[in-house]
Amino acid sequence: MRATRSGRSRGRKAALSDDEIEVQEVKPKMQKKRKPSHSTKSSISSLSMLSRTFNEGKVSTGANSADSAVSAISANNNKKNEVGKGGMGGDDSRQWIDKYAPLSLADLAIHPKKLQEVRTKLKEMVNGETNTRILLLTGPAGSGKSTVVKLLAQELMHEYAKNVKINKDFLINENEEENDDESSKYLVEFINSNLSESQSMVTQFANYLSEVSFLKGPNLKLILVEELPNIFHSETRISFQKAVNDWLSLPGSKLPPLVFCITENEFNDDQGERLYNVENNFIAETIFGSRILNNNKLARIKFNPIAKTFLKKQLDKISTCESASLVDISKSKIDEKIEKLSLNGDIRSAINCFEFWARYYKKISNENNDDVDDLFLTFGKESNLNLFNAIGKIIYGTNHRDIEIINYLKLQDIQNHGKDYSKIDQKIAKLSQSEIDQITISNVLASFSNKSVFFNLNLLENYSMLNSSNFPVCDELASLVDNLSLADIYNSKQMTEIGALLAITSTRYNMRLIKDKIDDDENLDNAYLKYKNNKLNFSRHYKFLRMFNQVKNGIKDYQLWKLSKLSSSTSSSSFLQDEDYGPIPTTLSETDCITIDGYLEPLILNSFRNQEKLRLKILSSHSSGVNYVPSAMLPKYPRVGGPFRSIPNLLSDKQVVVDDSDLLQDGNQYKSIEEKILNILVGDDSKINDEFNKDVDSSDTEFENDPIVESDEDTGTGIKKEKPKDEFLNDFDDSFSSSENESFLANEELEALLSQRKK
Amino acid sequence: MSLWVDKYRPKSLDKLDYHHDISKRLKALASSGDFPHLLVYGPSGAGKKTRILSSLRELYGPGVEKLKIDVKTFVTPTNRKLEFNVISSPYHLEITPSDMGNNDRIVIQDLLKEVAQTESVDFSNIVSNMKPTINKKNKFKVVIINEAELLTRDAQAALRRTMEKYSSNIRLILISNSTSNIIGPIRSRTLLIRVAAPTNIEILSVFNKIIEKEDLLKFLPKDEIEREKLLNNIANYNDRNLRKAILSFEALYMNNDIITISTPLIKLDWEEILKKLADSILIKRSVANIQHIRSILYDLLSHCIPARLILKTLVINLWEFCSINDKKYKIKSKDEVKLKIVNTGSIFDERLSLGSKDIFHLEGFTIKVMVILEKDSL
Repeated sequence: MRATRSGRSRGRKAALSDDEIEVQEVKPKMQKKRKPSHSTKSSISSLSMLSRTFNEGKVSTGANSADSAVSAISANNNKKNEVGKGGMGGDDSRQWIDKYAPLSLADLAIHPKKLQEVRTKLKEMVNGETNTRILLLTGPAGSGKSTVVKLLAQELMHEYAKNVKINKDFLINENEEENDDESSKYLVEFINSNLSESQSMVTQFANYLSEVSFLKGPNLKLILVEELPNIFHSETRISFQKAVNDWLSLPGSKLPPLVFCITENEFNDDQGERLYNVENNFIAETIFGSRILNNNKLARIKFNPIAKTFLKKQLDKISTCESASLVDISKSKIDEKIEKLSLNGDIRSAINCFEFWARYYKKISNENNDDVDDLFLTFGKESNLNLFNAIGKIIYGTNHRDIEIINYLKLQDIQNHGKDYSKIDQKIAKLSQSEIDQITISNVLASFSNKSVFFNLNLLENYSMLNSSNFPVCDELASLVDNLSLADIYNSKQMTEIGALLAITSTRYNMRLIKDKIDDDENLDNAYLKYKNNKLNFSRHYKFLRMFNQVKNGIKDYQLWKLSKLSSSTSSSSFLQDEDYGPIPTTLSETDCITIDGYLEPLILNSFRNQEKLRLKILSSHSSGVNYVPSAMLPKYPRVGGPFRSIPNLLSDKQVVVDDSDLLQDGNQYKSIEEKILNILVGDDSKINDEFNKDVDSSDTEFENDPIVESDEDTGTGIKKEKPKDEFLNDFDDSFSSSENESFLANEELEALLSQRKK
Repeated sequence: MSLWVDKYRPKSLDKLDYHHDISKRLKALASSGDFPHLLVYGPSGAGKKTRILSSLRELYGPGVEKLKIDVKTFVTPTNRKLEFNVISSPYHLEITPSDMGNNDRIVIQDLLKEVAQTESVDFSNIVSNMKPTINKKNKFKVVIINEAELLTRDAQAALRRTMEKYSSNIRLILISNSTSNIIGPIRSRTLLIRVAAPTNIEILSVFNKIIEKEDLLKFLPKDEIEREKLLNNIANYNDRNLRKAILSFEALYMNNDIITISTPLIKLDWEEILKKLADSILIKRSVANIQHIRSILYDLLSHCIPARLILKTLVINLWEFCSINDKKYKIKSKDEVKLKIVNTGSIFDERLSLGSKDIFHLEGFTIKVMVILEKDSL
């Protein structure tokens, strides 16, 4: 190992020899630091069955990293010497990021097509040529969202202002010209901290929106919202969503264009148990909810990380402008640095990195050390894998071998990955598919080994997308799922690292085998083609959990309802003390509730015999006024926990599931139904007749609202309460829900009734 | 109006329709005024609860039926508040600690401690004696623990301690479907009472009692043999689960004008789904179908149907289909396939009890079965 080191960096040799002893002392420490990767390695070998194929690649890279660890130490030492020598002076104290902020649209580093897209949309909005009211820009940090909006606002509003002046002869308020900042003429921003103390946090945003909605006509301004109110507080979020929704549905044609810039941020923290909500997934879906996002008055444009070429152009430009401060650095070094940084994708971070690299390079380079440039690459953005990216890599394999390897080296030893750049290219060609896979696995593991449960659920959801045509099952698939199942056991025993390793390794390995199989077999060409176009799905687990909890609540309520029913019947019959048969109040087990009683009891209660009995009871209790009871009036008991949706099968959702509304079911359906029946029985005749009209009202909008009906609230609760549940079910299932059929029936019956009465 | 199941539930040990020997023993126990901790086990719908409540009635009189429901709150070590329903009469309590999932230990410990430390005092004689007497008969309180087989190991260990410590003023009656999940120490500290599922004949006798009382003869087939056959079918279809059988008999009656031998029986929705699922596993052995099946499994699981029940039902269905329809599914050697299916089922059953995300294991089972069949198909 030492031989390679000294061979590699001749220039460093002198510096190193001074530190020779120290290096050896530090070495064990370094190994300790790198423990995570070691433990991964040992656990791999323990699962030798799966990883036998990969081991070679791992070992070779492992040697590499140990090697570079040594040189990292020397770099560290140099850094220590530097600290305390004082900051860096300069003519322009502004940071580069401000200094070189784009002043015109031409300077922007984003793709012209994207720019055009935003421009067209925004222009339409400014000129009122579209019904789009909200423009939503989403994307990772540093992709230029707000810069685009600010610059476009300047351009478009200037045009607009001119038009207004000429056409309508309006004068723009003189005061505004004196405003300090150029941009404020065209654009107002929502700033959280600006709120006065009298305002409640919850309604703050709604108030703001209602204020700025007057900024139209000659005073038109673009409203930019980058900062959001505290949406982590659920009340504030609901009020925020409502405000946005109101904005969208506000009558009147003209409103100032409203632009949201949202930096999306996926799962900061997820233990696999929590809901997929705004707290762990700060993305447009969780912030706004699907209802707003699907509104046609909202346009959404997604920004991608800035492409390498654009980023490079910008950095080059800066380097020419700053040539004065970069004199000490050789041109090739700068180019190399720029090349590396332009992979970053985040322009803000790239420029910042570049600036600090340049500043400190000068100082450190005095020491004549080659390692300096490597030291500062750690300032680069750490590679953070997106979930779907990672899933795709595991299921389909990686498409970008070189990036994968660089990421791998970066992870292996953070400070020295730059060293091997020249060698990598040659190495890549030599690496076999299995070695590449191993590297991919390590990369994914690094990001997801602590989110194993969550990750594995998504693997399960997506592995079968590979060949959703009629590809027959095979041993590889069985072993894949078998290992996922084993991994779950590890996970539930808190050994998530092994769980993740097992699941990810086995999935990649088996998927590769399956792919090879498809490649070999001509008959399966079709399957291969199909899998290329498949989109990845988010696991249904969270949806399932929500549903599960709802059903559970439903069961609990059913149990209580049943219990109170049983005990009330015993207490009423307690006069006849020694009955031999009769209800005994006791709880039903949950399983019995859902598997037996939950299905059969409603079946009995809704049966025609029962309905007939009830009808007679109603008729006899209301001797006058009521002569016919439509079956729609008789409430139906739902199956406990709701009907199964399985038979008309639902496909896994193509979209991300979002916890957009707190749909918690009020499970007291049985109770409310019973109350309803009681109301029908006890209530006086006029009320019953109202009930009739009410049914007509709800089914036929042509009838005018009767004020009496509206005041009759308690009978309406049953109906009202059922509603959210139906919506929820429809959410899952596109097929006809039972309630629709019922109301359809009710209509028929009512028509028959009406015609009868006319006669 | 109450359901037949409730309406015709025997309230005293004398009126029980079957297992007379068990009734006799329970009666003897109750009359002695004291009894040991009990572990009553047997399949669901066999009449465990009915027997226990009848013997409590024997012991305490009708007072046991004066129930109230309390909501107790417990605080977990992580400071989460748990709400828990307790049904109690002056003489007994009924709890289902498995509702609390992993926190059942806290519930068991706290609740039983609370119960055990308050000696039950009988105020019924206070008027005559002017002094509350500690009735010898009511010296202890009975705690019925439902679904004892679902208790975690932790909770069972806690239970064992409580049993020893407070045996003077507390009696536990554990109700469970099988003893296999109950730890040895508890089994050895309790008197085991097995309540077997009633035989078809016994179910028929219950049916006949109901038919007589409800005056149902006119709705049933006139021919006696045919009628018996129909009732037998109902009993058979419902796995000799009396509760299920009576409910489904009632549902059948309520939804049909006249029941004949050809009237389709009431089938439970989830069981039908699982039948279709088993069929589709055997026929469509493709990746596309796996995706389809996953949706169905998620649906069943989200309806709180226990994963192990799903697996068990699936294995039974597959077994039956393989035996009857091996031609349809083109199975070469059905015995071997059946053996392998049961083998796979048992492996994944264990995994279900070890793991936490059921869907992995259920899907693993389906794929394994598909592969077994794929290899064995003609």
